[in-house]
Amino acid sequence: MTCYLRLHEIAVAVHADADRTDWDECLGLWQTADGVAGRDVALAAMPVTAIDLDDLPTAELTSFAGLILAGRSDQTLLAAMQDKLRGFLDKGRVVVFSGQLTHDWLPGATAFEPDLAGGVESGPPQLGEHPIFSSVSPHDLGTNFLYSNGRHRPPAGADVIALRADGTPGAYVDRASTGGTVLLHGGTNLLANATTDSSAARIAPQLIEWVRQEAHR
Amino acid sequence: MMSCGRHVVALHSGSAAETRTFAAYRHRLADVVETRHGAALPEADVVWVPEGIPRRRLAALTPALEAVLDRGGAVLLFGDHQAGWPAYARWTFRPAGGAGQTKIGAAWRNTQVGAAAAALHHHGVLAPPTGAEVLLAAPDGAAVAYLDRTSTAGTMLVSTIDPLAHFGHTGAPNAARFLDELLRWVTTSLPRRRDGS
Repeated sequence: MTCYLRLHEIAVAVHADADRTDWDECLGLWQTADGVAGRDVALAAMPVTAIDLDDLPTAELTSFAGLILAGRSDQTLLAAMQDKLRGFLDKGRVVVFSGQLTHDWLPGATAFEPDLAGGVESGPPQLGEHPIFSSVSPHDLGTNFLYSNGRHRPPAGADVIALRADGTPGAYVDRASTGGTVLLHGGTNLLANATTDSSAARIAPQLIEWVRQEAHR
Repeated sequence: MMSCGRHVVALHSGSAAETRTFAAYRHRLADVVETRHGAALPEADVVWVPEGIPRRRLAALTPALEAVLDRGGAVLLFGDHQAGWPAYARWTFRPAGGAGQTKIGAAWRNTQVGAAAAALHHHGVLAPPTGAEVLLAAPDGAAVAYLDRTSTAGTMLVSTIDPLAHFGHTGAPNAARFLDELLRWVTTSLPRRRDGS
């Protein structure tokens, strides 16, 4: 699933306070969005603020529970603001990245390692017992929900929450490297699952809620 | 293969897919220019604008791209086209799909680049401006890629395929084949403009 309709050029900042989001309405908006304008409407209905990635280095982040960053993010920009991201995490906040790390900016994480054999056999991932994946069927997830051509190596103390088809780590939660929480997911954007009409769509609201709860833990 | 004297410049917006792709194709590019702080493109004959370039950055680069076109150069555009440039680009959303189902237009018929392009899926369709040549079309005839040699003094290839993302993220062989053939085509077969040649 590739999303050029807005998600790739923004940081999604999750609101810290509880709210009354109508997720049925939100997911309906995601499924019918047919352009940038539609995606902006869908984002506006969610308890998030879309921050243009180029504005992130100067954005005031204090009030947000976490940031969800896309795989097409400018990692040179993120590397240049890594101290700000580290400070945000050390205040107990959450940073979620879906994609392949090529630069050193995410605490505790190391670069995406291509599989030497050229990729593992494809197949549905194994999802752990994690609130983000509650009631989500692995068979409803897209081909690149976890990339089959490589992975990130989890740091010591991280919890692996999803495995690739070959049983190697595909996503992890790291509460040890900073004062906050890093979720690194080696696949396409978790929020983009909202565009589906399957159980995979549950990932978007469950991710937002998890970020909020995690920031309050 | 070198660029046969034609300077192909790629725009790099810092993503993993771009980092991997431009590393692999660096030897076939005259330059790779970062978009983060804006850029001038004085040496470019052909500019590769990847799908997913942030819209604000594309807007900032518009004068430089128009200067390339004004002197008869070429600009290659991919992905969806909602950034407002080029102003005459008319893009309509369709769910990603269509790999192997597209029809190859005359300019790409019986070419390796055409065959490679037809194997890729696309992200929406285009309404070409008057005079443009359709390179690739969906089964219903809607354009997926076209060559516009009338709207400017240069040449624009506008398409909704996204080869860089697929090569950069997964090393997809189909995407690699297309990029290989595209770079060969733009450096050996794409006619020059402005000077009439």
